[in-house]
Amino acid sequence: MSNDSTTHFGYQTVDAADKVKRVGQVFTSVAQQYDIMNDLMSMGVHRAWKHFAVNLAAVGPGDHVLDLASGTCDLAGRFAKQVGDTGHVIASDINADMLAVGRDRMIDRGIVSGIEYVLANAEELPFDTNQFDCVTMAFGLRNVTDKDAALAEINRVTKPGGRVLVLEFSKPTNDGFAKLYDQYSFSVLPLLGKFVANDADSYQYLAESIRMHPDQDTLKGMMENAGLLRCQYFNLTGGIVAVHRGYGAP
Amino acid sequence: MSIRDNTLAVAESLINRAVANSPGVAEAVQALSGKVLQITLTGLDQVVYLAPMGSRVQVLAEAPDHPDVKLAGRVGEFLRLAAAQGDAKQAALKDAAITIEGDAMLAQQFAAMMDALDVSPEAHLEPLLGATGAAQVGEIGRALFGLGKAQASRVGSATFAQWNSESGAAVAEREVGAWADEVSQITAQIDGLEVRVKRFERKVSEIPDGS
Repeated sequence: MSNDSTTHFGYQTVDAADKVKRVGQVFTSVAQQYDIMNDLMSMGVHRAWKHFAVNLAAVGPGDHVLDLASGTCDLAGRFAKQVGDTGHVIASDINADMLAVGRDRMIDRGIVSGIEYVLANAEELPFDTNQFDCVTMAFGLRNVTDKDAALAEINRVTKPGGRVLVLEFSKPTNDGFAKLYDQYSFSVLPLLGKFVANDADSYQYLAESIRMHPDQDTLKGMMENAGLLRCQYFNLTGGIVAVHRGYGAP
Repeated sequence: MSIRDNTLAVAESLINRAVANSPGVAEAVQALSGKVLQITLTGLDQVVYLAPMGSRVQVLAEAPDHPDVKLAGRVGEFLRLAAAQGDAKQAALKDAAITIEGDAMLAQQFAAMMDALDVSPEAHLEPLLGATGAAQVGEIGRALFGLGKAQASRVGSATFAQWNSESGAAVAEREVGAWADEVSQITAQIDGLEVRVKRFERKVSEIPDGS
């Protein structure tokens, strides 16, 4: 956070309490078009990023998994198949509209058992300490008001030795590529948002929020500060996205 | 991320998928949690670290902590170690071709853990190779890398059975040869039987009427 009472909402500085409301409005606005926009914006590559993260999570039968900022349940759906009858997946999101879209999507795919939906703020998780073998958060952390608090909560609910994965937009590692990416983000994304989702502002926020999000090494440091062990990150697509991983402390 | 990091991440994913799907192995990994095994491939000048954490294994390019045990040797020696079964594995581990520095018992625990993995690449290969191809490559891969004790001994018969069931009418040459030998024997026996029947009929015809 910028200080005790303000934080970033894209490039704007707003009251911390106001950010939750504004982010909520953004995702309520885009919920119905979220999947198609993800495909259009990333040209389908977001599926490969998620596949990589799911493989790194190495979820197996009997595991208890928490997928935060679950949104349309892309990751949670894959985990639900992997944990089998003895495992359990909780798909959690702070936004009821996103969670409703995700739940409907899972029902449409025939995934109805072994998965629960919990409306929760990542900064104050309503779960017991050391409850999960794996906690994931895909494209959600940058929207959290107090990221340090969220990471501390994630560490708390993760079992000792359990995996924590954060898949999030990050900083391209090549300067030339970064300039191209900037052009794309601030020119093409809002246009796509305008014509496909009829909401240019939300996708302007998306581009801005990505730029304000901590870079790879900073986020790794934040995870270590939260108490997670053996933190490392994997850059994907030239650093546009990074998967950070840490392990719950004993 | 470099090609090396990518390769290690893929290797780690495969190992951990196998850990998750191999009964009892997650507990074995848990018992090794916090330990670090360093593997140095002397011919390739590469160093890799296996670091169990919780119930999964990290495969790293840099040591997360000071290694508890260090293994060094050529790739071929490690493959030979992986392919060794039972007591032969322990003997191979003690072989001077692989140098062990640090806790040798820990090295054996790592070897036993890797040995118990049930690596199942079939699900990934099936879209590319079809069910039959994926099954064969999976079996051969397991045998080559010695992952799964029963796999190596199964590979020959399993592959042959797979070929037979898939190829339908196609029969191996040695099977045809054996079958042809049996046919020859039966034909010879039938010929002999026919001669005896004719001789019997002749003798019957030579018996005077009313005798």
